[in-house]
Amino acid sequence: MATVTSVGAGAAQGTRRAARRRRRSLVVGLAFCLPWIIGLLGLHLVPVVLSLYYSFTDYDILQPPKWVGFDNYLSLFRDSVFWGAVENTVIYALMAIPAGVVFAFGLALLLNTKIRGLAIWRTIYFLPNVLPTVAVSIVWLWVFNPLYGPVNWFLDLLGLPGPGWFADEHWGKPGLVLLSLWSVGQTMVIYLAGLQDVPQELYDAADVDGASVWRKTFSVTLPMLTPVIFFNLVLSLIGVFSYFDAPFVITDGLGNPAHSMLFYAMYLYRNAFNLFHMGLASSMAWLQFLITLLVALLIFGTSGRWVYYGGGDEKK
Amino acid sequence: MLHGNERGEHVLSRRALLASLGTAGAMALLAACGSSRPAITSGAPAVGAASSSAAAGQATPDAAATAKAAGYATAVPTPTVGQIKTTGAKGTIQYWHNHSGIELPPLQANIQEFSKSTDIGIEATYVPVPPGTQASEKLIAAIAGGTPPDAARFDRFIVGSFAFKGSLTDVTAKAAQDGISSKDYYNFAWQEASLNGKLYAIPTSTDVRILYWNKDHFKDAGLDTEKAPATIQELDDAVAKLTKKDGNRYARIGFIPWLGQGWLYTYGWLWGGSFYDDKTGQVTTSDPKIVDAANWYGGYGKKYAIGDVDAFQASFGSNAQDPFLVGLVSMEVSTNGTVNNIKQYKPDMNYGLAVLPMAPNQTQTSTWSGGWSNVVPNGVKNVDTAWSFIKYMGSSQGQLTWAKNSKGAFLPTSIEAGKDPFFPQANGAAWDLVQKLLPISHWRPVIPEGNELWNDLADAGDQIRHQKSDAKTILSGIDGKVNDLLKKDNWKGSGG
Repeated sequence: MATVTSVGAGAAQGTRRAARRRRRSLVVGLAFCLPWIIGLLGLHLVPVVLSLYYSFTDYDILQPPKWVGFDNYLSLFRDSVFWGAVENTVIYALMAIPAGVVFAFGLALLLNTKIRGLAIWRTIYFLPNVLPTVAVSIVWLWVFNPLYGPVNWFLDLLGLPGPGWFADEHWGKPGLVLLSLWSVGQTMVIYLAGLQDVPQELYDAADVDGASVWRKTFSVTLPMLTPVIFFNLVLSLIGVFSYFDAPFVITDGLGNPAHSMLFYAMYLYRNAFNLFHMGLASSMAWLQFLITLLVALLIFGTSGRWVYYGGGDEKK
Repeated sequence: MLHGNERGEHVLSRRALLASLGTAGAMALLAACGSSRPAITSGAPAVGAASSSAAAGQATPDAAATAKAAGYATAVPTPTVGQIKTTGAKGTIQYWHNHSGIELPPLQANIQEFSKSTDIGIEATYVPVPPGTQASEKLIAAIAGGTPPDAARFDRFIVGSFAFKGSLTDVTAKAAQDGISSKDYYNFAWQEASLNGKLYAIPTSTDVRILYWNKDHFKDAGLDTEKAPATIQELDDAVAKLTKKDGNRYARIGFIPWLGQGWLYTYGWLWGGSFYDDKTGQVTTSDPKIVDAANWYGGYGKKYAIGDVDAFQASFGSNAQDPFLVGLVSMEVSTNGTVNNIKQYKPDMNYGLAVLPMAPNQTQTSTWSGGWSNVVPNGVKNVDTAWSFIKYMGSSQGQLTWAKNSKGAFLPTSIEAGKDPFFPQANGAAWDLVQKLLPISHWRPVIPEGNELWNDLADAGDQIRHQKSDAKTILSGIDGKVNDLLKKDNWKGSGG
């Protein structure tokens, strides 16, 4: 009995000591996290919550906010420039997201083959991602220069009339899509990682069945990669609604000609930091959040039908 | 014929490509040189009494030594471009400005002169105003946060907007105390610096919009080289003769209304329109005369195929060079400052300048002026010291010191400074024109939403020339929007 008790006491003491150690490590851990926690709460959560409040006020930074209820939201719905910005963003999204998926996926497939200098090729395709957008945009402005740019020079060689690109209200967005394809490196790397996770035995089994390369790509690689595609889709969706830097640099912040490159985030920025309508800009930010959430939920809703997580029967 | 054309284009394009590549290479080379040997790129030589070394960001021992030898506040060069620092026994003022390049030597001269005479130090910091905006968001945030600089350079036409929001210090009493009154400045400058009869800024520079024409192009097109178009009709006819187009590519355009200083303000006033009624406190941009002007303006978009004009304009590169200087357009509405750009970058250019051509049914030409000022933001602790600096910068002496140390065109707002023989000497024929125009010059409405109105009108110009809707609808939209905002501001006009 005595031994048992002593063992029990020892165990209890051990637990207590462990608890103390755990508590101490918790404190130390929290202390290390503190700068981040303060940052998250102070620099993210507080502004986020405040912006919800500001979205119901008339606020120009210089004077205290004035409660106006849903006025900001209502005036946005009446504002044709706002709807133009929404339209531009949606059109751009419809072009850039699918093009980005196809292009990044195709590149990843190519870079997943066993060719010479693979590392070099991968680096080359990733390189644009480490360049600052402002510099890249300025270079592309020249690349797409309607009269002296290399793109139109090349089109001219083929006997095709080159469009005005960023100077043309109909060609500005396609130009931006091409620019965005240039920096798909980030997405491509994620696809590459996904590709390397596809089990070899599936390919072996397909080989035994006499499947062609195309067949293997569409019946093995593609289904196995749908979770990665899904992930990238959601990410690019969020990205596209906050699309800002390239068109801002290219159009000097104005989004012209004829507002054809005025995107949602640019109009938000203009309202906030050029016209100092902080309340209006805050309501735009919250609408943006709601729209993104809605579309993301929609994609999540359909994901059961096309995203395959392996394991056979779970697929609906 | 067609073949020849096509081949011609190819050769040209290839050459252009090579030239561009060459330029890019040269720029890369220059950039490389610049980083390894910064002394080469340190810019302007010493101008006037002050050394430009601090302005260009180069710490040379000479500058400090010269300043010390001169026996006044020492300029301490710092590595940041636009940082100019003097010290004084009677305290130091933080001053935010947006000067760069050739404007730094005169700023340095002003600051040193001020510090020498008052023993007040200045710490001047470059805080840019981002493109497409009128006020630095950093400055606004600093004012809102209660930590503003003691003095700041401010675009004069938005002084009213920001004074209305309570972000600028009312200096009416100080001005009265120091004997400064509306008589010391051109009317438009004083009006822009005031709101409801109270003074919030001290004006510095100004400008006027005039017509420049390229005499060589005129000769080439068989026009009288010594006579600028006197009416809009004559202008339109000249443009038709001057413009050269090959397929959908322009080689030269006689005149692009929206280039340079071709704002809707410019033409609205030219057509005799009025943008604002101070009696009612309402903006009136859909004034039929302004609509007429906008229709003429938009007509160029239609007549000269806006897409092709846009492509032509885009090919200049963004803000890189003035197409008038390069000889791609034959006429341009620009400020008086372009005279100095031509002197500096294309001294052999054969050009003339004139008042803007007369609009239909008008008996007089018109122009408008803008310019800058200095303000004391709200929340500044030592208003007296800050006031003494902005007072000096706008004084006749301050403006003259600037002008004499400046390579750029400086047009004074101080009437006394304007009488100095320096200006006719420095500006030649341009000065006579400027003297004629300044007394009749318009200024943008001083209202709480002046900033908004400017942006909306700039947007409207783009919409109108791209035929997005008819001018009247677009301009009425602005009236609705801005008057709504003015109503929220409870604005009843400066009289009421």
